[in-house]
Amino acid sequence: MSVHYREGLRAVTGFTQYIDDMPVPRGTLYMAIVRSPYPHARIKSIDTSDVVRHGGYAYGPTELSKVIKNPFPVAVNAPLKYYPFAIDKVRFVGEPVAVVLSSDQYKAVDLAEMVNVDYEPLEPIVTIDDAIQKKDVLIHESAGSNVVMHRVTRFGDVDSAFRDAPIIVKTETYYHRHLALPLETYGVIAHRRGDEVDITANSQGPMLQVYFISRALSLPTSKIHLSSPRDIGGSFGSKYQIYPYMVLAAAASTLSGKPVKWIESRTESFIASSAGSARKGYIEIAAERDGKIRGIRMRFYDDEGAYPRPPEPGALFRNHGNLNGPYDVKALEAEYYAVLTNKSPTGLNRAYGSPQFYFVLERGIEELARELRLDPLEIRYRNLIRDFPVVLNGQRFYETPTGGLYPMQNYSAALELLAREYRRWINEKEKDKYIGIGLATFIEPSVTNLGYVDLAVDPKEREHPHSGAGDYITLTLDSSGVIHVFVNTSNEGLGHETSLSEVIASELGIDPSMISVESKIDTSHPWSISSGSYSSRFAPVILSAAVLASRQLKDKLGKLASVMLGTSNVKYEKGVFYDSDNPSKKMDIRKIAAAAQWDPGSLPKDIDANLSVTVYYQPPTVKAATGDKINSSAMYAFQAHMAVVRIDPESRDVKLLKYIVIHDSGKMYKKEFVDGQIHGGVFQGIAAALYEELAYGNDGQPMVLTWSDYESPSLGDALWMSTMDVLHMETPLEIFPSKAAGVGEGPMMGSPVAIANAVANALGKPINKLPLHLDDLLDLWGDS
Amino acid sequence: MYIGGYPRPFKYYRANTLGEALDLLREIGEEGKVIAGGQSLMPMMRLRMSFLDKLIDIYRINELRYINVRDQLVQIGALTTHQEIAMSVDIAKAMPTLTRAAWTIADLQVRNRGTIGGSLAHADPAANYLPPLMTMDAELLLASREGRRKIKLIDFVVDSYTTNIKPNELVIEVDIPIKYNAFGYSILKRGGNAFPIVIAAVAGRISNGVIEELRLSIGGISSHPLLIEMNELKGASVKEVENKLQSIIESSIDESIREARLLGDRHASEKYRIKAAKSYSLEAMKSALGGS
Repeated sequence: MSVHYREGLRAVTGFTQYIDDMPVPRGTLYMAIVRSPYPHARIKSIDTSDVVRHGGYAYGPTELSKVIKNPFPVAVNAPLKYYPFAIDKVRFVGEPVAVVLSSDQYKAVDLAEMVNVDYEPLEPIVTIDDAIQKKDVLIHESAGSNVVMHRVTRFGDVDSAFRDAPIIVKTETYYHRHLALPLETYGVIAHRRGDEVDITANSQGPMLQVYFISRALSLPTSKIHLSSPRDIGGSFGSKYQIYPYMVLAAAASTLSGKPVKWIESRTESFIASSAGSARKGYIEIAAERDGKIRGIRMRFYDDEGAYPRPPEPGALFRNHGNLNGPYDVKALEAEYYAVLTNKSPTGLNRAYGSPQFYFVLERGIEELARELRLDPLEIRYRNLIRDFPVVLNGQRFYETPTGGLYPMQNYSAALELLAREYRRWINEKEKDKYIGIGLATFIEPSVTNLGYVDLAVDPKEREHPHSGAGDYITLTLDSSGVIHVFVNTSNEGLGHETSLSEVIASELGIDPSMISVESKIDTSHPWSISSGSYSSRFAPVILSAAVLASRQLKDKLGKLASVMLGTSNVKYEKGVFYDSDNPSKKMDIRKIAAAAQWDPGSLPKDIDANLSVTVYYQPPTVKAATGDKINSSAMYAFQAHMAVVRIDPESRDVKLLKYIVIHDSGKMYKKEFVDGQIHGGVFQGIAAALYEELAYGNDGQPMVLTWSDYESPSLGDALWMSTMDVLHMETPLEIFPSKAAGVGEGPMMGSPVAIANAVANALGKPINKLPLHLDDLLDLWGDS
Repeated sequence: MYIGGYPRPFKYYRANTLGEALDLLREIGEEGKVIAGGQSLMPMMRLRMSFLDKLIDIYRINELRYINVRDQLVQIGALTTHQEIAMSVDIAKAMPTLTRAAWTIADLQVRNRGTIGGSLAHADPAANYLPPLMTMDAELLLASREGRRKIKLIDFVVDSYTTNIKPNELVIEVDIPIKYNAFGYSILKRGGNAFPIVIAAVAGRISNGVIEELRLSIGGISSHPLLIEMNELKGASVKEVENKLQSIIESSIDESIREARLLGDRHASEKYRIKAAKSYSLEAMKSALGGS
């Protein structure tokens, strides 16, 4: 039974409620942030007296430090401190130095210009190479180095894989800093009332936010209440890193004694919200002459900006469980470096860590194909995993050397589906030399195991095991038979409410109009540190919890029905419980709920009149790390992409001719949502490959302050997508009640490298650096 | 700094008629700035790139919104929007390069609000209108309380964002003579909101396959759009010129840019723009010669 897109209807009729639409308490002041214009400088003095003279409030580091007593916890073992504002030194352009408050939003911005800060500029560290080589320029003196984490992890016999290999290829790649920017920026409303603080923000979930806020403000969690508006205008991971601003706003509220509202501007979003880390990658592949891979060595340097802000260095480890991609490789070495530069801190981004990772792996595969003169499709085909020998809960899996568990899917069949189109375009290329065809085959991880961040620390130094991946759902029946669903997460245009009502209606065989869903943050409802909308966990975890909760509710109602119908031979069909010996004797859900609520006194003592069910679902595939082996994601799904491009001889620009996605994400619930995710992910990946880069100049100044600077493609650049093909394969994943894997990030994981491979094929040159702007394409074209 | 979105405080004046506007300009023209559609000025104000404390809103002066197509002349009121120009069938018949220029401005929201007078007074070096209007010898009519004057567009636009409009003057009309029958227009834009990187417009008169006059104008590559009179093609037949077109265009452009102040940025460098200018000019030229 299909539910019309509820959130969509709300959006187009103007009834959405975003953070800026929310009513604010009386006396609310608007906050504007004074930010550093230097990438690296000492703060000599701050003078806020002009602000006060003009009737505003201003708080610099001295005042803020009184309230923000502790730095945020960081996941790396480096002696440095991360506060949401600069103390003594600024470390990136846009770093908050002071905040001002005014009862008028426009005036707050005027007041921000009246804060006088005296800086002593220092030499900035702008590139990964500089961070490593310029040892006398330290971003954090206390850390002693700009490399704040270095780990080497080895699995299988890497040495002999390489020692006896007839072929070894090496490639160096660079993937740029990029953020899939949402239309809505950050927004926070913070209200400190005595020893309690209420924060409403368009965050991606409670997750670890409460923990971070509690530490920073030195407040027990009993005094912190977090909520979100019902609607969020997109996030793609960036709204997880909103917590520094939540703390700043809460501090401003504490110091002024008034509620504080802050809405981020677009420029602030570009320079100081979040970003996907840039990555320098090295890969060496040892192979047989027939192309079969013997072993892979990889080295990653991630540019995380000025602070290793949690969840970083997660981008490095997110793909740890799937380091061999879809290829059967038993010997792997991964060396991980977290590097700091004088840029804004990085964080979650759609496909977190994966576009960078697959750029390294798939460019390596292309280099191997080139060296062996093998067709790129053929070399992938030869290396695809075909055996899934591990059995868990009756299901078959492939265990990767690093601890990942891939469910049995037919990778070769998927690639075979692509083969015919692939050969057709190779034919077209013979007629038109400007055409290029690129492939990417990869594994899409979904549902993060929070324990993977432990990889940042040597196993001997880890204190506690971690394996958070689950979530809560609550179903409550009211006296008119309506089921109220609550999930502590966020709804950034993903259709969660619609999907949940459909799934629960389907499980119970009732009309979806009897189901009301709230999918937003409210820490007065059950939640865990893994609760939130990230790493595509909705379908595997939350829908699984919904399925289980529906069944539990049905069982409870069944027991009540037994009592009310006076028989234990009760059957259920489409919302009605009936006496199987006398089917005309029946009660529907509404009647049972009403009876239990209006007259619970008549029920037998041993019958539970509780009409509410709360389920916590932890995916069974997720456990804490053992040494450096960990299943970093609860689920994995195969994807194959083919991109066909044409280089325009006049502009040398890249035009898309065709794009094909073949995927198997298990059971699909709402096909139009899945298609939407895939189209959107492909488009964002293309935007990353050809247009968008959060670039910095050699002086450490951010070059992107507006959409125009970012060169974001518009709908007009997406019209070719009407010819895009998506082939869905559906192998139900029985290990989860929902039988579904995540589907939100895959297309963005593989599309940048698919595009690079296509352009490389067109130009006959390797493309190991992204993005490809007009000048890059002109240089690659050469004088031909 | 870095906040953006909120302009500094300013005093807002609204003129409902041309007379009111000219009075206001006489009074406060020195410190004030005129706003029409606001598609260039508002972003600058919101990014606090513009320091002004008086704004004169002329957008509602409907008497400046018209398109008259006569026998030999097209007259367009300064407050005519880009979308109105793009949709005009008469303009499309008389001078299709102007239509194409209007159609390719930014996006629909900008075209519905932005005006031709505003665009020309702003004089962005990558303004879509400048190349086609320059090839056609467009003139502007300027008005102030002291009187009216006409000026050729090529003299009006001095440099990037610099015109010789006086503080008390308003652009009220654009006049374009109808004297050509061969047209070509080619534009390179990349990404959604990005300004054009190269615009090439051609206007010419061809009769019985012989080129009487041919003019090429290129925008987006230099601080002032280039206007190139293709004199060496005068009198030649279209057929004989076809093979030599590319080299003639390349050498003409190389010659013209010697005195020019070239533009380059992260979207495209000087080197790229010059190369693209040659390719796109060739394309525009081929359309102009092919269509006759």
